[in-house]
Amino acid sequence: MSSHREAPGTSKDPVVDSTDLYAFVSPDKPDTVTILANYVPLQDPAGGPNFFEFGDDVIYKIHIDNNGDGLADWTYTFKFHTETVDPNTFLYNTSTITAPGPGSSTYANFNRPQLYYVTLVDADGHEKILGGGLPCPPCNIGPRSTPDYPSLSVAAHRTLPSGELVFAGQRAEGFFVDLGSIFDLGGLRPLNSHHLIPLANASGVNSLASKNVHTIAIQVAISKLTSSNTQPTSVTDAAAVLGIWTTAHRQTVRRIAEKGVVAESGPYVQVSRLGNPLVNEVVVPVSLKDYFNSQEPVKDVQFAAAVLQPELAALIPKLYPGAFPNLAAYQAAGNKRTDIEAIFVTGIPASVLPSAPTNVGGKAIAEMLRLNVAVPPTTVGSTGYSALGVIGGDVGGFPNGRRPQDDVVTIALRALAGATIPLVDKSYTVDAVVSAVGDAAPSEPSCYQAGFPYLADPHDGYDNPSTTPLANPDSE
Amino acid sequence: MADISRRRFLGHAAIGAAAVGTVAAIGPSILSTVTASGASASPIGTAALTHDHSLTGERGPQPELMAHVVDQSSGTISLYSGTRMVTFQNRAVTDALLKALQ
Repeated sequence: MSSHREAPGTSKDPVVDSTDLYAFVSPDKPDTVTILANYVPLQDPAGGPNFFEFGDDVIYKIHIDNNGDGLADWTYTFKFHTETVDPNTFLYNTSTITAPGPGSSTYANFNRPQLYYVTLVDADGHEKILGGGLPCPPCNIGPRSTPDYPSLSVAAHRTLPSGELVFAGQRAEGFFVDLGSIFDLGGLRPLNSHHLIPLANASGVNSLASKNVHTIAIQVAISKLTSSNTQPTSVTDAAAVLGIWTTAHRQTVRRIAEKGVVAESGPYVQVSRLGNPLVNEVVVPVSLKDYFNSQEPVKDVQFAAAVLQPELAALIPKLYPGAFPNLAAYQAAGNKRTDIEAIFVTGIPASVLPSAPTNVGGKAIAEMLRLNVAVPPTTVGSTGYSALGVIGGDVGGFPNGRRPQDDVVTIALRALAGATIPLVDKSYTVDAVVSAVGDAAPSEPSCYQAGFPYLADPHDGYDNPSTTPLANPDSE
Repeated sequence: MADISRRRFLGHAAIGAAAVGTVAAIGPSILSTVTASGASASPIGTAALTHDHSLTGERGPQPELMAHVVDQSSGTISLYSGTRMVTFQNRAVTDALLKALQ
């Protein structure tokens, strides 16, 4: 979760594994939208000597649909290239790494610099190079190699001649989830005693604590992306909703050639895809996950059945017998989960969510992260803010786009458990236990920052895992 | 027509199973198709990309040419080089390739 190792194919190919996609009106620059596409999951900060990189043989894309038809009207592409400065050393860095000076992209003493270029493709396939030679910062190694990481990180914030602010590189993992419990037969530690195989109730655990991830971040003027070329101020403006997804592409043919060289050829094909969190993870059946990753949102009618009758929603009453009687009866009666369909694949209509509809531009069945950019951002900690987003009364959060601190696991679990059924069926009564549903994994405030790219500098390898050593019994 | 353009950009192509042979390296003409064709390069972009073989799909000075016999009976072959794929039919070629494996 939310899309870490979500499919058999991506679980074996981390550089194409899109883990999370965030899209939100920038809280500190509300005339812009910020999109974060995270890749390369579950990074242990100490993972040297070959620290984490984007794939040089991968094309990464961020797509924006601005008219609700499920087709991209704008696509930003990112392509990376890694240099080896000194091929005769095993070292990632030959001394303390320092930031590039003005006008430079060269990190001193960094032996594996990775650069990238950005292009923009319009709806007709015309592609324009926006910038190249853009540097990624090194991974955060430790106090000898990267003692002033903030300076290394900020040096990789680049404003393109066309106005977009971009960053690509390692960040702290901002997603939080209790993987260990959830994938142990749907366990939620706070509700352990209600489970079919009961255990003692316990607090949630964030399995991603102190992990890192690689982020592609772009901040764009809203008026540059909307179909009206303006910044809509009315939430019912047909131009107010952007549908966003990210994809990764590999070349068709890969050959392990002589002398350890990998040779690739042929057209690039899509091998990974992410819009909303959790869809391919827990809605699409395992036999279709790799296929789903190869498909465009405009073709998503083929997955509609899995969304309308989500397996996890059916499992919840079985895993927690007696705790969800209303949900069990509702689904046993054959009712389709049109609330889940609206959240994930069609957008939420104004009749259901007047303050932040997400389908005003179009209602195509297309799994995209939909963001109504006319909804003002709510800053963390401000009045009206809730990490539970829409179900917490804060329409500035998921499923109206997604912010880094949104608790999408709890939101999705409660939605699947029936919390959102009354939005489409007023006669339904939510089970009392739903308000307690969640994995209770705590977020780490230190993983976020107030400004671009909103995910904090990565955890360093010297101090993570904890520097408090366990006692060595052999030394006693 | 816009939809066709999008699909061409996405580069979707139907392929079969495993490639069965590396035929030969070919000349540079096939490199004429590049990922960023039609791009109006800004100076910053052009300067940064001149060394980037990955932009053209090549690996070093000579690109690979991979041949995939899609269907032996009809002589259908797909060729892959750079970022291109071309499919054609020639029974004599497929027979020769398969004979070489024996």
